[in-house]
Amino acid sequence: MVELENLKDIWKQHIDPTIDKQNIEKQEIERLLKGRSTSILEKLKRNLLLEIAMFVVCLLLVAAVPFYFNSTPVTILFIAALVFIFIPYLFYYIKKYNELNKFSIFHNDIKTSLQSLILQLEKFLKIYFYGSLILAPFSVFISALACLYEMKALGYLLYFDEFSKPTLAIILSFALVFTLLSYPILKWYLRKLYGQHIETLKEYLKELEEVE
Amino acid sequence: MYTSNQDDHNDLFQEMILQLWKAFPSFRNEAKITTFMYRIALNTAISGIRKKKIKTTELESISFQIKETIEENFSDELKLLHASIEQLSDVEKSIVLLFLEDKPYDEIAEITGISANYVAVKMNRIKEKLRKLLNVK
Repeated sequence: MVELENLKDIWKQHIDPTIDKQNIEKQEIERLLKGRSTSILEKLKRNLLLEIAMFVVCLLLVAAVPFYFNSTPVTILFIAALVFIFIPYLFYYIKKYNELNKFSIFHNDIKTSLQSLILQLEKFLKIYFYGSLILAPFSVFISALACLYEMKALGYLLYFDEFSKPTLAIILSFALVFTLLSYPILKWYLRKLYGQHIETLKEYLKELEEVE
Repeated sequence: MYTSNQDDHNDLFQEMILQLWKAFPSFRNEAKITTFMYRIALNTAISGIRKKKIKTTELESISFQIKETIEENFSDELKLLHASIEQLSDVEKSIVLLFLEDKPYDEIAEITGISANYVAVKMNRIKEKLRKLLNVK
């Protein structure tokens, strides 16, 4: 039976001598420092950078649509989307990325670090969630319109005028329905991505705060 | 104690070195260098996403695991101590490790961000948990 009072003695007796022996060579430290960071902040930064890249691609596609279709209502819709949604959101993404770049938590005490990390993760999930929700209807709308356009070029669905108001309304409705359907999938995906980790971090924080 | 295999252990060690290296310019002598280093090491360990491991909360299953350890090598007290600490939460592990490293409650408070009084309360609870785990026959 091990008595608690002996814990420190057991620790000192077995661990302390091994710590003294663990001198790391300079070359080993250099090798370790060259490695890729796996910290959660680095993962967040990489994810956000990927999001920015995807957003830029979508932005370019949206900007190209008016040239491709040559239709006034579509041009107005996409220019409005570019000016009021895509460009501001891209700037917002870049701003958040820069903030995250300057953000450092590891030198703080554990409680403060946990609070800051949870805040950053929740912010990121919100940005990711709304960013994806914005992209969903536009992706569907562009794809549906392009499909219809190409099918007509191939001699199918000739009775459809892709730029008529009813057709645009159907495509728009389809895009909105798709967005609504993607809502729970997106929620599930984000929970899978970081949601469970946030819950774990919150549990730790609660543990530190429960008596204070 | 924060990892379940050698690869994860190596990764965590590397991450700690990286974070120490990055954080060192922000060291302002407001705290002891060891306090600063413990903060970084434990923050790195706690905040990281680790691969899922089987988590059992039932005391019976925990006792069973420890019993196995005892049977394997009854005289190896350190192994038993390790096995018991493994069952604690990551926050509890941090506190108990600092305790075993002979850190005073004030310094543990500085590293964890909770008051010294609460460290004492928390330590009593951890001791109680460990007592149950260690005294399983």
